This record gives sequence, C-alpha cells and structure tokens, in this order.
Amino acid sequence: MIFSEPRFLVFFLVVFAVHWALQSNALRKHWLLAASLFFYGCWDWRFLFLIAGAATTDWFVSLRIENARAAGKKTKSWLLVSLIYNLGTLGFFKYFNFFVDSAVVLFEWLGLPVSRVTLEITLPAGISFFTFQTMSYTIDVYRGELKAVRGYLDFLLYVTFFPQLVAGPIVRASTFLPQLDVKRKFEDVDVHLALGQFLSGFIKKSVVADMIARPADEVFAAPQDYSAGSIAIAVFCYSIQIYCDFSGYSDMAIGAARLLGYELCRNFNFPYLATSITDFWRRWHMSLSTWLRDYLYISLGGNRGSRWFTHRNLMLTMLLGGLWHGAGWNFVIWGAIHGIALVVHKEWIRVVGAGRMPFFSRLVTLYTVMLAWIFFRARTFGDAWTMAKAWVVLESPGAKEVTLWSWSAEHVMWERFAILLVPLLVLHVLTNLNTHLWLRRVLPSPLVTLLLGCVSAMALAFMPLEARPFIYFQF
Amino acid sequence: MKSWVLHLSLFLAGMAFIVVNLHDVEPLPFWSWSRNKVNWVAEHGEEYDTLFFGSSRMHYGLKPDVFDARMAELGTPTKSFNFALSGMRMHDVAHMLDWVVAHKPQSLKRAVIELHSFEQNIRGHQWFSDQDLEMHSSDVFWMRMQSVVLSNTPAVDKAKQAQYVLMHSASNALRLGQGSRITQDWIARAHGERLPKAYDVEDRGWQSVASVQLPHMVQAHEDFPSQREHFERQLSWKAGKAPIPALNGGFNAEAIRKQASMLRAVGIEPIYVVMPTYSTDFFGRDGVAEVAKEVRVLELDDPAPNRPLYDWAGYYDASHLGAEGAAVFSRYLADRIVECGSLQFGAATSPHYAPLAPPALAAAWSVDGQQLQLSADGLPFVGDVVVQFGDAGAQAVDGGLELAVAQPPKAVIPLVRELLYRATATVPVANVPAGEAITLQLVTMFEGKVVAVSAPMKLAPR
Repeated sequence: MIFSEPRFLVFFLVVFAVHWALQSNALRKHWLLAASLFFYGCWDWRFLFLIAGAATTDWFVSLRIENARAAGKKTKSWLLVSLIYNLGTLGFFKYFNFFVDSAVVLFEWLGLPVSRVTLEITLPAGISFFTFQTMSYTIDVYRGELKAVRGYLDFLLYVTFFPQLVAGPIVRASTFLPQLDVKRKFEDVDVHLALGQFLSGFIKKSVVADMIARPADEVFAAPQDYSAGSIAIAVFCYSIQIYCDFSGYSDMAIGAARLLGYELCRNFNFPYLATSITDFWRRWHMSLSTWLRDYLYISLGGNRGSRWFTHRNLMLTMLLGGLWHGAGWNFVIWGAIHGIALVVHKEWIRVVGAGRMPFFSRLVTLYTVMLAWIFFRARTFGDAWTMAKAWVVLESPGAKEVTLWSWSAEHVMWERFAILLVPLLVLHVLTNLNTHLWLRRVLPSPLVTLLLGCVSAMALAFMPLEARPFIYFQF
Repeated sequence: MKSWVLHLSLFLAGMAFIVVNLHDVEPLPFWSWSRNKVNWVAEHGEEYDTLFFGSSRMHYGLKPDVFDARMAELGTPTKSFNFALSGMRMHDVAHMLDWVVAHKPQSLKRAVIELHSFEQNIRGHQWFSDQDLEMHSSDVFWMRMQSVVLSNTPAVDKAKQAQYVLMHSASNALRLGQGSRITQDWIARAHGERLPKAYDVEDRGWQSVASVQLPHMVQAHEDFPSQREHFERQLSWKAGKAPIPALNGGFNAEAIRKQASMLRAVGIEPIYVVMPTYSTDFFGRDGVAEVAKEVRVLELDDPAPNRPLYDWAGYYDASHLGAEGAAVFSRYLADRIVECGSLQFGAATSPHYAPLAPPALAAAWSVDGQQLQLSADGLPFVGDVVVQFGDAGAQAVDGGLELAVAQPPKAVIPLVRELLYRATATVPVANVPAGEAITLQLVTMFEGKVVAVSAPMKLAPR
C-alpha cells in the first residue's frame, strides 16, 4: 500500500475518521498502532515480527541502560546489544548477499575459487529507516540525552507510525514521543496546510516524478545507444525524478501525520538551490544527513582532530551513507563522489573562503550532484562510466535521441519538456518564496478549500497512467 | 459540523469544476491505440457494408480482402473492414458499437462481433489504462455491473470484479491521466494539426500478428511449439463439449440481446462469432447457447465441426491465428456467415450446413398493378435464391414476365439480398390477365442444385 494508491486513500479516511472520533488519547494511540501494524502488514505480514522485534529490543535495552546508569553500573554492553541486534538484522536482510558476492569476486580475483552461497532474502520494507530510528533512540538514551520511555505501546507506535514507516523521514524519538502525551484537538489541526502538503507531495510524486521518469528510464536502460545530449537530458530528468519522488513521499508523510495531529521533521529544503555540496546535505534528506552527522560522523570523531582526520571521517560517513541506500557498489561510489566533493569543498573554503561566486557555486554543486546520480541510477558500472563520460566530456556513445514521453516523436521534445518544467520551476520558486503561505493568509478560508479541490482534480488528471513505486522504498 | 460540511462541499465543488471543464476541453472518447481505426471508419465508413468487432483474436485473425473475395464467390459480395482492437472485451465492443450507431454509415449492413466474455480486469491492476478510460460510458458501466451480478462466480470474486468496474468508472469520471494528452493537444494545435491525428490504416484493419513485437506475445509464440501436447489435450477436452463456465466477469446474455436489438433497429444485422483458439479460456458455452436463441452465433471455438480451423500450423500462439491461419479462417467465416441464414434461432450453436424448412415468402402487387413486389425472410445460406412461377408456368422476357406461355420453362426471378437472410425484388409484369391468380414458389439452389423449395403460394389476382 503506497500513498499514491486509491486504497491508501480509503485506508487513511477510515483511520482519520476513527482517530478523531475517539475521545481518549490512549484509545487514539491504540487505534493508530493497530492501523500502523495493519499498514505494514499489507507489505508482508511476516515482517511484523521483525519490526516488533527491533522495537522490543531497543525499548528493553534502553530501560536496562537507564537502570544500569541509576545503579552506577556500566551501560556500554547494553548499547552493544542494541547495535549488534539492529546492525545484524540490517546486515542479514540487506547486505548478506552483497557481502558474500563481493567476497567471492575478491577470492576469485586472488585465484582462490570458492563456492557461491546466496540466499533468497526478501528485503523488508523500510528496514533501513526503522533500524536507524530505533538505534538513534537507544544511542540518545545511552548518551543521556533522552529519558527511556516506559510505555511499550508508545514506543511501538513511535517505531511503526505509518506515515513515516517505510520511507521516512527518520523521526527522532525526542521529537515524536513527547507528542504522544498530548491530547490533541482537531480544531488545532491546520487542515489546509496539512492537505496542501499532502497534495504537493502527491503532485511531485505522481505527476512530475512519474511523468519525467520515462525519458530517464529509456536512456538508462541502454545508454550506449544515445547521444551526449540525450544522456544529459536523461540525467537531468532523473535528478528531477528522484527529488520529486522522495521529497514528494516525505511531503505526503508529513501531511498525513499533520492531519492526525502529529508533526514530523522536514526532510527537504530546495536542495538543488544549494550553494555548495555541504549546503546540499543540509537540504537533502535532512533526517538522514543529520542522523549520519549525529550518530556516525561525530562518533568517528567529527572535526575534532587534524584536517586529514576530518576528511577521513567525512569520507567514511559518506561511504557508509551510500551503502545505507542499497547493497551495491554503485551506491558506494555515489557516496564516495559526495565524500570527495565535501572534502574538496572544505579545502576550497580553507583556501579561497566561503560564499564566493554564489551563482557559479550553485551550478558546480548541481553539476556534481547530477554526476553522482549517474552512479546511483545506472544498471552497471560500465553504463555509469559511459554516461559519466558523456556528462563530463560530452562524448556521445551513440546517435539515438531520447523521446520525451513516447506517444509519438512527431513533436519537438523541447516543447513538452518546457510545458512540464516551466510551471514546475515557477511553482518551485513561488513555494521557496513562501507564496503559498501568503496566499493562505490573504484568501478567505472557503476559497482555499475550493482551490484545493481544483488542484486535487488537476493532479489526478495530470498524473500519468502508469503508476511507479517510490524509489526510496527499495532502501 | 456545519463548517465541515461547507468545506467538504467546496472541496468537491472545486474538483467538479475542473472535471467538467476537462471533459469539455478533452472529450476525446478515442485517442490512443484506437484512434486510427476509429478515424478511418469515421472518414471511410461509407465504403463498407460489413464491420468486424472484437479482440486481438479478430484483429489478427480476420483478413477482410480474403473474406470479401470468398463472399463474392458465394454470390453475396461484401466490402468489409476489420474494426477489432487488441484487448477488447464485450463491454468495450459495446462502446464501439454505440459509437458506430451514432455515426452510422448508410452502407453498413452487418456487424460481425466476436463473442467474448465480459472480463472486467483485462489490464489487471492497471486501473487507468487507455482502454478503461476510453471504452467507457454510463451505459457500459451498468452493463458491466450487470455482468458481474449475473456471473456464476463466488461472491468474493464478484466483489473484486465490482471493485474493478467502480475503479474504472471513477478513473473515467475524473479523467485520470489525461493531462499529458491535453498538453499534447496544445502542442499539436499550435502546429495546426487536426485532432486526434490519424494515420492510414493498412490491410483494411487487419494486422499480421507476427508484426507485433510485444514481449509477452513474442514469448507466447516462442513457447507455443513446445506446448503442443498440452494444447492438443485442451482441444480434445473442448471437443468433448464440456460445459465451460464464464470466465472472470461473466457472460451477459441480456446485454447481447439488447445490443442485437439496437443494431437491428438501425438496419445493422449482428452476427456473433466465437473465435477458434487452442486455449480453453472461454467463456460460458451455456451463455452462448442462451444467446443463440435470439441472435445468430457461430461457435467456431468448437473443434469437432470446425476441423479446418484447427490446423496447428495456422496458429501464432494458442489464442491467435497467424497470417496463413487468418486467411483460412476468413474464407471459412465467409462460408459460415452465408450459411448462417439457414440457422434458426435456438436450433444450433454450431453451424453444419443442413437446409432447414424453407423461409417465408411474401408477394404483393404494386399499387398500379404493374409490378410484383417480392420479399423473402429467413433466407438460407449460399448461392442463388430465386422465385419461380409455379403451376401456370411463365417465361422471362426482357425483365418482364410472359405468363401466357404453357409448360416449361418456368419464369425465374432472382432475388437481391439486402441482408444475409432477407432478399427482395420488384419486377414489372406484362401479361398476367386481370382477375387471374398466380402461383409462386421460393427456390434455393446451391452449387447448381435445388436444395429447398417452398410450398406453392397463391397470389390473389391484381
């Protein structure tokens, strides 16, 4: 069940109606927990045990940590239990085959043939997200930054809360758990804002991302056939697709949570307008980048050492961040490109200074980010290399031109490109200038509702006929 | 509460405003894969007297030029066009027929319709397919819901089928996914193009299945030879006349009866055909038998009486005829359609040629008494249908009749077929004395032999 499916709408309407009809906060929480478990069970009910196992372990461990600390005992061993359990689970379900395959290739390269052992492992939906979420909670308790929660069901709801369960944002316990104690009134919910955010996410995902995916899919499927110009268009399209896909999902998650009276953290802040790669990571998948900063980069020592020590930490953080996205070397290379770019940027600031040539910096940042997307998306390293050469030195591997969505090739592709992108760009800029908030203040409330109805119908009409799954669900 | 109702109403009003306007901006009942044929028939419909409707089986299986040639050989020349489209099911065909009736070319005399199931989820979970958006109207919605209710499937399956129908209807009402068409329209209009743009239709609508490179079809074709034993088994099972229940969404005999009435009311004779296949995914033999009580049905998915259609080499895969198979089928269908006139409703669902009781003849004098008006209904099959003067004897002279002549030769008046089962003639009569009755007989001849003669009919004096 994904957010852009009709059955999610039915599911959400039922959850929404019952949630607000219940008078007691405890009952509401139980209802949301049941709904969340049902939502996750729709993917694969067997993994309910997995998510419950992760939640139970970290809930129990964090209580042990707190008790041990109160008793003056050591707490590290309990933290290790959590880390081993969470990373072990993640490693098994997500990386087992990857590590085995890589080891076999290495041994074969060394002339030591070994038999290949691979398992048919189904990747549980959202495992990367909920594992990071439960780990961050335990680490916060270990660091003494958070009190362990006593109520098991509250903690289970925090882990399984359906709007953010399968693709984030990675909500911190310190942000979410206190909200569970407050009984909310429906009158306090800004329905226009919540609905607007959900709708904006739906448009990003179902209209823009799904529509612009076609030319990207076409070229990434066989890049060796296409001209450098077509490859550039495909990279451009994929960059828009992944942003609209993922930030669209986040917007829908935040909007859905808001309609239920909960606030989730912001996950994107116009990342392609970033003035540097460091700035990009403050704007892209913010809940992951702050997680990596707080729990990995800082744990590695952060910038509390020499220049090279900091660079090493940056590289390690980005390499592991890349690997978090998927069990493949392409993700590691993607992380490496970002790591190198961050290191170069740090050196640039040291030598030249910050804030110089902002327009040029934006272009270079966007160019680098798009280069990295090639490795993120390409099917093979060979494909990625072919496309990277086209992107960097404009070398055309083939003569074929991409058709921008494919009913016919009669019309000049730039026209369709412009028709889609110009309004998108205008909307993007207007939203960046907070025009939508200004409109809400200026327009009477009934008119805003009417407009939302109009926009909903337009969104439904303009979504392409083929629905695509969210890209980040595979992570 | 009041505020809630107000806001909900406003929200829905906003949606309705856009939906209504989109319907105005983008009516496009046929746009994508159907547009060429639809536009072709809109522009060239007057050239044809016979249209074929149905799914890919008909689309790839019926060659109009071969069919027409055979019909001409059989003495009932036709000019036909293959209007079938891949993926069409009975409710989709109903939508096409509505369109044809609304744009009826004057020349159109018969619609040969593939009898198929009312399968509701041909596109699986792809609820917003072009087909579901385009092949839709409120009539079709009710027909589909009725089919679901009438189907002999368990309640759970019925609920699923109903869900599909509702989703298709909702997606149609909301014009889901038509935004890209609108943008395409804007561009095309800016280029001064007529919409929807059509291309020439080759081979009068027939397409060789070998030219279709859809992966699932290519795969089915490649797998077909290795599955011969399996499909031969299915064939013998079919030949055993096992009752085969309706597939996936039922068989709506009532809808087909209504459709036939609608077509007949505008002068189009429907002939339903169950296409031959090696697969057994059809479709309610019981339903076919029920329909055949009132409309003409050729059940060719029955290998026992239709052996020529079950040559393995003629098939591209279990469901589709290859080019050679299509030629064989087209000739065979022509024979059976001509033969079709002899079938009485409810008599049989598999046509073996066997002349039944002679059809009804009607004769009358014209108002001025100078012409004889003849009509025959329920005509049989192939070949010549003539009226001959009976006992009194007569001789044809320059289009008129000499009745004073004594015994043979008798006067023979050929009838001209208007529909397959109806023929008429108006002939000037010179020498019948006023006050004298004449005797007429309807004679049917096949391959030069008289195969049926009606009882003598006495026409009152003029």
